[in-house]
Amino acid sequence: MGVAMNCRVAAESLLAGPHEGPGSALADHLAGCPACASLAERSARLDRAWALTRPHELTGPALDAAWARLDAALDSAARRPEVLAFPGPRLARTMPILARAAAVLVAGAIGLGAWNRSPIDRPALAESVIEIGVGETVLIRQAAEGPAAERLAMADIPDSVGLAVDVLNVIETLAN
Amino acid sequence: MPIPPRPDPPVARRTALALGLAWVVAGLPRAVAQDASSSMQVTLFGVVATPNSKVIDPKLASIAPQLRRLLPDHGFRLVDARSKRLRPGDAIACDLKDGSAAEAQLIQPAAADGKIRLRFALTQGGVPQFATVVATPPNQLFFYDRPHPDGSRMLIGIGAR
Repeated sequence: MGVAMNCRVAAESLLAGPHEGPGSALADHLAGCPACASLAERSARLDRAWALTRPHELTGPALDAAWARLDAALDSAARRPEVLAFPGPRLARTMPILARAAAVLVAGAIGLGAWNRSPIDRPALAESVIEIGVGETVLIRQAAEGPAAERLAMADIPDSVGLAVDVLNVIETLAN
Repeated sequence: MPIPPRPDPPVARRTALALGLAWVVAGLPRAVAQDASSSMQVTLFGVVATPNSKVIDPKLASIAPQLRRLLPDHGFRLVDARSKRLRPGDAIACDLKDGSAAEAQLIQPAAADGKIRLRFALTQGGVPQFATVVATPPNQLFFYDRPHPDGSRMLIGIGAR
């Protein structure tokens, strides 16, 4: 039995990653809920931005090429021990092994970091700047295309500056 | 045997001491003034506004008329309120008690246009949902309006002075 679809479940589904196509419970919900549809659109835009800006993954051929270069460098070093001037023959034998171990650790750390990347670990949302004039009371809302500032007319809220000072005085007292 | 009187410090040493003291005395008020002008009292609060309700949180009773002018025919309940003197880069955060949190960060205390620049951000479960920079005159409030599925609204108020 599936989970009942509501705004909370829809938001979790959207933030968890790619979702089912048309006809799914989520699609039905998005068709009837502007807020969730807006979230879906922003989520899709973030996915596109992330796809364009994410770092290159270490693919099989690239990894093979890196190993080949590392092997070549190590073989070259092994053929010229006198140039490396290791303090003793035992250390000279162990250095290539240590170098390989370090390379494996670095590659493992890179891979683990990529594997652990959460689907919601995405770039920060793009920020806009909202300018507020003297005496304006602004109500900011999240619109599909980004932050939207609704400027309430002075006539709607008489003495808006006095209102703000009163509210600030009271809230500061409540907060402290 | 009488103890000889302590000789006066050399003139150069006395002059250096006097100059140092004068520098400290003259510089201190300016440093204090600069510190006061580079910090602002930033206030952040969350209020749940319920439509067709007359219920007012007792904590908000004294500003109920102002809130009703902003959102007529709503009841109001204070969720959280924070107010702190911030320096640039500092931030305050409110727990909105529904898994989300609001944060206000002071970016610039007062620019040439007299406005204070604040960064407002909203997160849900730690995931960024919304962020914007607002340039506002001091002693004014702006609000972020977040509708809830049940028809109520979370009004997040931010102001600085």
